[in-house]
Amino acid sequence: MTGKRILIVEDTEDNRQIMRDLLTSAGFDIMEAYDGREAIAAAAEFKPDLIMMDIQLPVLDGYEASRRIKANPALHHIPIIAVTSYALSGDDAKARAAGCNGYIAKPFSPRQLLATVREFLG
Amino acid sequence: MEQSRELGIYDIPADGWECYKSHRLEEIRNGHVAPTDMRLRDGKIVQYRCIALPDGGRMLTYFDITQLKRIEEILRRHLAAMEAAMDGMAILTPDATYEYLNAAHLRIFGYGAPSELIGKSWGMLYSDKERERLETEGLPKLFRDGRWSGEAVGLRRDGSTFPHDVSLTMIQNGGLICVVRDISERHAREEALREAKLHAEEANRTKSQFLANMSHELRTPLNAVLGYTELLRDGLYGPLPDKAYGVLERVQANGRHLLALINDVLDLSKIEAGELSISCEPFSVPGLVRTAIAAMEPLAKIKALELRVSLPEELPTGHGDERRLTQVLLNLIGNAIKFTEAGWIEVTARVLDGWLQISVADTGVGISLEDQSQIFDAFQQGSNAVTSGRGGTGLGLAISKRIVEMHHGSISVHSEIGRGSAFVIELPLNPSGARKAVS
Repeated sequence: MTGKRILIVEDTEDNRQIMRDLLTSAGFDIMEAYDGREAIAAAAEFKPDLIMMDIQLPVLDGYEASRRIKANPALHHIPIIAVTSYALSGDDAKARAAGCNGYIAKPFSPRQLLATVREFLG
Repeated sequence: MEQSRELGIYDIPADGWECYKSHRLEEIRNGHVAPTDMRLRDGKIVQYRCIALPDGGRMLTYFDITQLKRIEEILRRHLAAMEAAMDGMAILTPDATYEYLNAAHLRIFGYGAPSELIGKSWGMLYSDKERERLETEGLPKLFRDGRWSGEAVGLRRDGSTFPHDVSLTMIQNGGLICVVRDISERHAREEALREAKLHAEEANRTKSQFLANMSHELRTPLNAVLGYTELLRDGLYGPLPDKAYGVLERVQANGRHLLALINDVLDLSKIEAGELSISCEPFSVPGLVRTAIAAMEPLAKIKALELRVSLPEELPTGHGDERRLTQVLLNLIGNAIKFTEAGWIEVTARVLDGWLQISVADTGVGISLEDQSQIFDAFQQGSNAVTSGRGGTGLGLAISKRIVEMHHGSISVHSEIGRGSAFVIELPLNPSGARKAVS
């Protein structure tokens, strides 16, 4: 058990479950948020070690949520990985511009996602 | 008179001679005859006159008008032709007023009699604005070249307007010949065509937008299908019967194929909707080639194919969308591996006449001439591809071609059945350079 805490921001139940099952079995502690606003609140409350951020989200999209989290000095250090089905040329650059530290396109391979998570959490 | 009859000068039938002679003698006695045309036996026409002289004598004159009559006949025919013409024709005086208008000209502009326009200025047949336009755009060319033709909007007598072709030619006395043709129908047809084209383009955009949205929507559930499958195969949900692993592998393979299709359809629809933007950044050509080679090496290894690279020591910096160009190279190398059973695949880069040339050659099955003509179209593969189960979406080359063209470059294929294939990409080295700007 690593004890590291990961916040999953994702509005689709299946995708949330896949990440939950994958990351829990790898020993991470999981928190979940369903939209951009919840994501900001959850980040402030739980201070996770990593945020997996979907981009197309209700209420507030993942770009804006990432921007606001990165603008908060208390949360600025938390790495954010964008997980999105906007898999077009320039979308990764857009995610990085919003402050995301990594980018994973959907559909993702759970194995590769886990590898990326481990890169960030050492 | 009898003498001239014997000489056969007059063309008068024998039984009319006495009557003719008495008429003539009567006329001479009276001392005056209005000019009269007479036909001679040799075909000439003379105008005969009799004038009484002060001393009581008579002067008979015979004036040869054969030539005049001929010219008169020609003029009559020409006039009849002009009157019968379907195009409007008019002659204008040097001060640009109408001297003559044919029937069609009057009809086209909605007038009834020539007298309504004879002596009037040409400007009467155009609106003020159109007159100004013709004066600034047409007339200077007319005076410079002696002729001008173009389109104009005419003003009918009833105030309605209509488009027509007009040609003006200067004539010797400084006057003008003007020919007009009503093109309302042609304009209406062109307008209908233009509208049909706009509708088709709009429908095409809607289709592309729909495809783009749909592709995006399809990825979300596919993520769940592929994600759960991988977790199952990796044993995250506990051990499974052996048979299940094989089935899950097929689920995964089909899911990935579906994903490839969705990606390609999305790419193609974006390109066709004009929504795919190509960045123009400097990139290293050897870097581009090596990245693609490295990604494809595992696939080549599986089929025991040699993957060769041939790069000159010095290569200039390329300009373009490195990610998209990598996609093109991956597609070409992937195809080469797919269609080669033994031998090698070689990627070569070189500079030729200001163009960067990258080629991917293989020792594979080759492509027939017939197939070569359509492999760059969407959903086309060489005829052997589908039946031999080589997979692929059939969109890769169509996408590659469009990406290369968006870089102002070109892609071509050289191949022979059984002798392998070579695909060549040519890109301008000048970043903003289109082909014509360079050559």
